[in-house]
Amino acid sequence: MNAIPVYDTDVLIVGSGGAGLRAAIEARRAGVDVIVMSKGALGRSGATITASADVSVDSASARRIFGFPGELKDSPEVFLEDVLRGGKYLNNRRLAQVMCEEAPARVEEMAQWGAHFEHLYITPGHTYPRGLWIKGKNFVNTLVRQVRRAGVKAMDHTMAVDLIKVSGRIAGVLAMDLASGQLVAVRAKSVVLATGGGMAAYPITTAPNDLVGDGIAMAYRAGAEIVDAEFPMFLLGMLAPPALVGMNYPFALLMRLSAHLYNREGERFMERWDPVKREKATRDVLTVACMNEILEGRGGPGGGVFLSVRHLPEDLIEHFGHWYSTEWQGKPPWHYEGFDMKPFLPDLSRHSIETAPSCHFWNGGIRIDERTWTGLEGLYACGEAAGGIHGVNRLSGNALTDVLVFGYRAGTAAAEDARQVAHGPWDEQLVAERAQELLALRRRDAGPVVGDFSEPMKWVAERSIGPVRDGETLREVLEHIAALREDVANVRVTTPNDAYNREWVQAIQLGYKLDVMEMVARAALAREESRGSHYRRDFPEMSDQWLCNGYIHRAADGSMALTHKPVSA
Amino acid sequence: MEATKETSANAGSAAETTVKLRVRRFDPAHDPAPVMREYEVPYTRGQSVLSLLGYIAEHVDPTLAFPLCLCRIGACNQCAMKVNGKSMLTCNRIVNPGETITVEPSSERQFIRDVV
Repeated sequence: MNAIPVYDTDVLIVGSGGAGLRAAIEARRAGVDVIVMSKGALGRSGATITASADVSVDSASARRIFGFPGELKDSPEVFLEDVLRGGKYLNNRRLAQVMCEEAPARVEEMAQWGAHFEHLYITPGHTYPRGLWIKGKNFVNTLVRQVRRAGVKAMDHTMAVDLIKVSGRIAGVLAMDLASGQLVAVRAKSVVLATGGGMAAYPITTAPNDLVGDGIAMAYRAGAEIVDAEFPMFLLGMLAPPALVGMNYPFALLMRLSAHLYNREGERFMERWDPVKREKATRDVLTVACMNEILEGRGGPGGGVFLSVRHLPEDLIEHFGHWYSTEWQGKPPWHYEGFDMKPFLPDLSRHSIETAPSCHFWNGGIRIDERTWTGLEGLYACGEAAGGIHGVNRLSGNALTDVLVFGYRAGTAAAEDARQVAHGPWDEQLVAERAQELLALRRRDAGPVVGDFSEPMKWVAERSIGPVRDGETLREVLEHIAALREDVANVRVTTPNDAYNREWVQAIQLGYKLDVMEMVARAALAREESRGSHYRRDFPEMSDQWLCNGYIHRAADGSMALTHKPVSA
Repeated sequence: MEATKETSANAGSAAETTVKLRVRRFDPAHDPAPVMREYEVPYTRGQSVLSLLGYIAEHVDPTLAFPLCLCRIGACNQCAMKVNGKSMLTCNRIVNPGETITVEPSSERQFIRDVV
């Protein structure tokens, strides 16, 4: 085998969504060498590019900084109370407080860099209007410009595969250059994981398909703790047509049109869950109710429940897109991001479409302190990969605020760390061994292929780690995950090409997906109550006894261990 | 360019509507020249060209290279390819029943393999 090239840097940032880019700017400003590594093109992979959405800042600051009609009664303290209430009080209070307090400085700086916040609006869970609307592309491009100006080095189309830990300190990563298939190592004095959530471990997700939980899994394997793993957040998404699978937007729009939800018996089942609001119930109730119908065998052939606006006149439906076009920022009616929904209208107005919970956000993640330190020497985490800020439910707009505040903090802390230490010891032997394990996948003649895992992983994801869970099924799911792990250990890659070997990448990602799925299942099994998007059929009530956070770590024997601690003040 | 043909194992009887996707396959490290490979896959209403590539990779030919990091909502622009000779996003290019679609890489300058 060829020797593995090793690149040196002070700070290595993995991931080039909003958090990674913001961290890179700050680390570089502190005068150290910075590399940003990302699986896709710089600023084009990750979730931020898709977030044409709100950035939260307290309403009074929105008024002061931008002149928007914000409420002067609002403050970071009032904002914090909303964040904690929304998170059902499982948030790490200190992290949530930092986010609310530092939001104004971070958005003001974005505006100085040319970000265009278009208007201020109120969203559910916020007492006052705090949402500064911005296009995802504008948000990301603003950061990319600063990253380039600052002289940060980009390693595009390079997938971090494993953290390299030497003598207890994170010394860098092993990665794959996707274009050539060459394995490379980056040696760094400190590493920031800004790799996003694990939504794409679920077959139905609103997120880009690169968000497989790789950073969370890598940190876990290296010895970091993972907090609040049982709380992925779900929205309802489309199961058809194929081009729209997972998307929440058409669903959300049709719901505003007083869409009805039916089970396979033609029953408007929401009447059982909320006889007054029915389909206008809150999102968490809707997701749980739909999943419950599906799990109890009253779903459709596509695995969802039926959404319909058939009871409305077709011309009204068509006009509806005009009336609600303004909120999508001047785009023609029935447009969403790059999609023109109009061709789908005849189908949408005459037929039902199947809908099911779509994984939207990772509330949990790598445990960090307020400096974003993970507890492992040399390792920091920020953005969706880190957990604890949002508790069990993130309020609208707080993802982008989180990204700016903790991206900034991660860049600062990682640079400080890098300035104080020299490169630690490097273990060439360890890197070579890891590389051999990866190359072995391509040398096998027998064993399962990536495609063999689609159905069993889908079964695991839908069965009991969605929004509706029960103890018995979770135990069964954990057994399946254990069996799948044995199979994944023998997975074989059939694609012979070195260049852009998609199958090899997906084979490696199977392990990350199983890690995050097991985290969700273990934490969900232990939590014998219902809270937010975690609904236990066998424990349907919320209980004060469970005002604590679950922390997952890798035990000495390699098994996944879970402990609970009271909520951090 | 010579053309080879593969039919999905899952494609049903001739009466069932299908779509033909002709994809340019080329690995500069191994192949003397690009080849157009034809895949015939079952048609479903509301398929995008990108969802067809995903279907092929999962059910027919896992060696096909197309981008890994994709937002699927027309925001990231990483799924841009030449479809019937014109550069466009493939996530929002909806497929018509019975259509024959030719897919090539959008740019030769940054070309890696197949349609990446």
